[in-house]
Amino acid sequence: MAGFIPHTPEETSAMLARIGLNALEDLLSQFPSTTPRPGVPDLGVLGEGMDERALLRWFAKLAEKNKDATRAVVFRGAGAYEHFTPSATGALISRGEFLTSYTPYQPEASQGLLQAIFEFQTAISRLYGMDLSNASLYDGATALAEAVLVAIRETGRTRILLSEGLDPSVREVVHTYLEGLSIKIDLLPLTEGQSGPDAFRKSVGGDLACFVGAIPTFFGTIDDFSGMADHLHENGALFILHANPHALALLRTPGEWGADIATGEGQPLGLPLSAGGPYLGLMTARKKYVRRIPGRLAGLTKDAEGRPCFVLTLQAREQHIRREKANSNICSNETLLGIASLMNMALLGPEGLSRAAAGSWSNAHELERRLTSIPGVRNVYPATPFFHEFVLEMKPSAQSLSQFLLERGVLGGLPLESLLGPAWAGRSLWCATEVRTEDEIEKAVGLVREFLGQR
Amino acid sequence: MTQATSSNESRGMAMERPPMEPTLWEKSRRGTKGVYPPGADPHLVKAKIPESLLRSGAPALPELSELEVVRHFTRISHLSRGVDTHFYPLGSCTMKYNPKVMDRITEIPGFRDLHPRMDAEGMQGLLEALALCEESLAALMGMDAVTLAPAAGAHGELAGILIARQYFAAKNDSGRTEILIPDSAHGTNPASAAMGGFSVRVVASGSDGGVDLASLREALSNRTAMVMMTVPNTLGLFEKNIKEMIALVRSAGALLYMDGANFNAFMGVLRPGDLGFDIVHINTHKTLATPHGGGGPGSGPVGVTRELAPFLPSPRIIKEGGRFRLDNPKESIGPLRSFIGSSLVLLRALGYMRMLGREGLRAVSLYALLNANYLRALLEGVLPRKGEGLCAHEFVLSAREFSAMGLHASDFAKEILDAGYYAPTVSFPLIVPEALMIEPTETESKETLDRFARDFREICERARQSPEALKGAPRRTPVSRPDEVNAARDPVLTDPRSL
Repeated sequence: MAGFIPHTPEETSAMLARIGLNALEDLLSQFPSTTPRPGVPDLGVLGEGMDERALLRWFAKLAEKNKDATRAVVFRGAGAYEHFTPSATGALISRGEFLTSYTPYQPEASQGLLQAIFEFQTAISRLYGMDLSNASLYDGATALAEAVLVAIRETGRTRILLSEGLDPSVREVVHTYLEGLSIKIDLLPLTEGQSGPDAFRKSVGGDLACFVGAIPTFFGTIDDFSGMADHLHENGALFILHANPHALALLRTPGEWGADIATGEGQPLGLPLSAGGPYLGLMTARKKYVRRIPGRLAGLTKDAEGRPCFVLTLQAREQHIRREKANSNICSNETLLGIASLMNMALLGPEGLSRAAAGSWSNAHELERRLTSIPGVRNVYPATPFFHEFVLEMKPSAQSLSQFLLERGVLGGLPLESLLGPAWAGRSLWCATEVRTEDEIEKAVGLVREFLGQR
Repeated sequence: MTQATSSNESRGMAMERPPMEPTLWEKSRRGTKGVYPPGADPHLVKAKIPESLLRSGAPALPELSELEVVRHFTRISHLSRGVDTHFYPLGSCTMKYNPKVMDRITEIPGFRDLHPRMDAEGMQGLLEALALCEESLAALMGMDAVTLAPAAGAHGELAGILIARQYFAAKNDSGRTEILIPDSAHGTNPASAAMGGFSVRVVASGSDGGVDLASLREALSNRTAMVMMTVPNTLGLFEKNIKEMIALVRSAGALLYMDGANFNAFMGVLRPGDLGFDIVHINTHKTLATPHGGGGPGSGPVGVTRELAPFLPSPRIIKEGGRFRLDNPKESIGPLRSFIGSSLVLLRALGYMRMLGREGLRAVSLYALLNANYLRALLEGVLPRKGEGLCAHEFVLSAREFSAMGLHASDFAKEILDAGYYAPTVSFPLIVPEALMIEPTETESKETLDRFARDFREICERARQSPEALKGAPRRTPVSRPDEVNAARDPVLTDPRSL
């Protein structure tokens, strides 16, 4: 039985003697006595313990039942993307000084960590074209929910407008976060995968706290936000964009569109798919909102001897100081993943990041070209520019296609009906990133052809 | 940022400080090639996208070779301390050793490279593991059902608060708008309550640091939705009147929430559900083997009673006929995040529980109690402690007597850094003036605790003899105390060289 407890029996006895106790069990005298709640799982479920090797074998057996990216080639995105990760990142991020440190509340003993957070904030700000970034939030969805809360507090208004182009799962999280606050949530529908200017103007008024758009949309299309920033600002509302950072190596940035706050899911910056988490919530903003945004901020300053150094700053926004008046309840965040994403960005540089994003665009367009050349398969938004995802429609059920492909080693497009309702029957959301090869694309297209040929 | 070393040396101070490292943007040289990824020529692709939808120039990221990046991060890592390098007696944070074998679990492709929108058929191994994780945590907490969704303790608190809201709404009891929180609580408790749309009412502590029964009785009413308590409390003490308090809250018709940040004190020994709590969160990154990563990731599973289970966040893991699937129940508060949970963190927690087993986990808590009480005994008489008798996994000392000399708890923390440790938590809990909160954890040896106690005693003696000396600390760290006022006045949050 392992416990990672270094005490010898003699030391344990000596320590107990120093406390004035005879046995370890005497330490429990401070506990209230209880009787077990009926029906609750028994402690026996925890088992008798096992050694390292047995543990790893046990997990490996479980893992065999999963169709991970090594067992099924990934043509699915919808908020989680398989991208290239430089090998050096794994070696660097496992250094104990990063991995086993606490939040850098003691800056003198945490300069490396603070510098990495400061550099992360810098890289994300430049990628999003914004003035500043925080040190991370939980994931993209919670980052957007927090951004909406900033807009509600800033404007004192109680209605928000979300683009239909936002990932429906992200929209649902915003709903959960706003549950207790009596906020009206309106949806701006897309037309051919883009926001219609007329519908937008009709939905904006003096009661609106913010509008949120997506880059690219959940359906892969690249939306056009021309004129929206000015119109929102004239109406006293905030402009928020939720953007995929991988796409921003090529696409017009939230800063260039005139956004006040921009959020995103940081997983596409080369973090593993991780069966859903931990992921990385990104939040960037214009400078005027610096005291409004949630989460930790590392800042540059000087020490008592005049040396440049880093420190957590503007902590008066945070829960450990402001308590119920804080900007957010966030404490633990995703710092380590932020640093891993920084390592990826530093290793790739601007050229590598652009090259990878261009690879995603190319592969997705090649996949779309070949799939839509199959009779009975059509792109739902054929005239709208897309980035690395697109919606296909075909007669048979998208769910049965997905199952057919998975049995043959391909994770195909995401069936949309269960997510978006019966109007989306037969439709699925496909993705190809820079890591897909010619052979893999050929295999997927061949299988779709085979599936349709059987009907 | 390298030139500072020489100026310090010329002034004859801080000779022991290691050199700082320039930022990535300071080192960047235009045209340097980094790692070559799979991809395509961006110029060819840009020509095919409408110009109005393209960014105007490449992002201002640093341009460095792979070796330069490797050296950069290796060097800056040397400017930080972790549990792997230093004793970290940071109270309330449970900075214990996290076994390296758990890192390897997160590297198994079957988990690491699994797409979260995989069909249920292709994630049976994951769902089986997570279901067992839920069951194991339910057993430790003594609760009927567990959600793994929350990404951190504070996220778990928000979940619990939204569950309480939904529960009272389902009962058409709309008058319960208040959450009661002791003044010794973590700041996340009141912040979470406010995010959930509740107003916060603070309950005063008694002179012993425990919740004052009379204050609790007075604060409770038919407006009370929930009472949030930390067990053991943030002084490292079990509330003496806990059963009476629980009975009071029950009779007022309110729910009882336990902040399980201090779960390392009683794993397999005491179960919050058996005590009478309705909602419990724990921080797996404190108790169950996820290293803190400089601030995260963590995870904050929440356990609830049968009555509250329908309201747990979606999706839920359902087992039917030997197969697992995900379900979104109607009464659920909804999803708290994009996907199922921080799976790789939760698998570490599961691995730790499987590896140690029932008796191993119980031993963890017994030795956490032993180490804390041993260190408490060694430091008796050095500084006054808040509370009496045995402590749980941590204890709180007060440096108040030094206030008159102009010394604060933070000055002691800086001197402790110089002695070769990370610092205890300072200035928390708020009810103790000049607090130093010390949590040694079970993974530290007697020898480390003896050495720390000796050094701490020496620091306090030095403070009594020459208080001025402490104000100059730390002297051996890469930098001396940062000017925090300047940092906050006109914040510089990105590298000016990147613009």
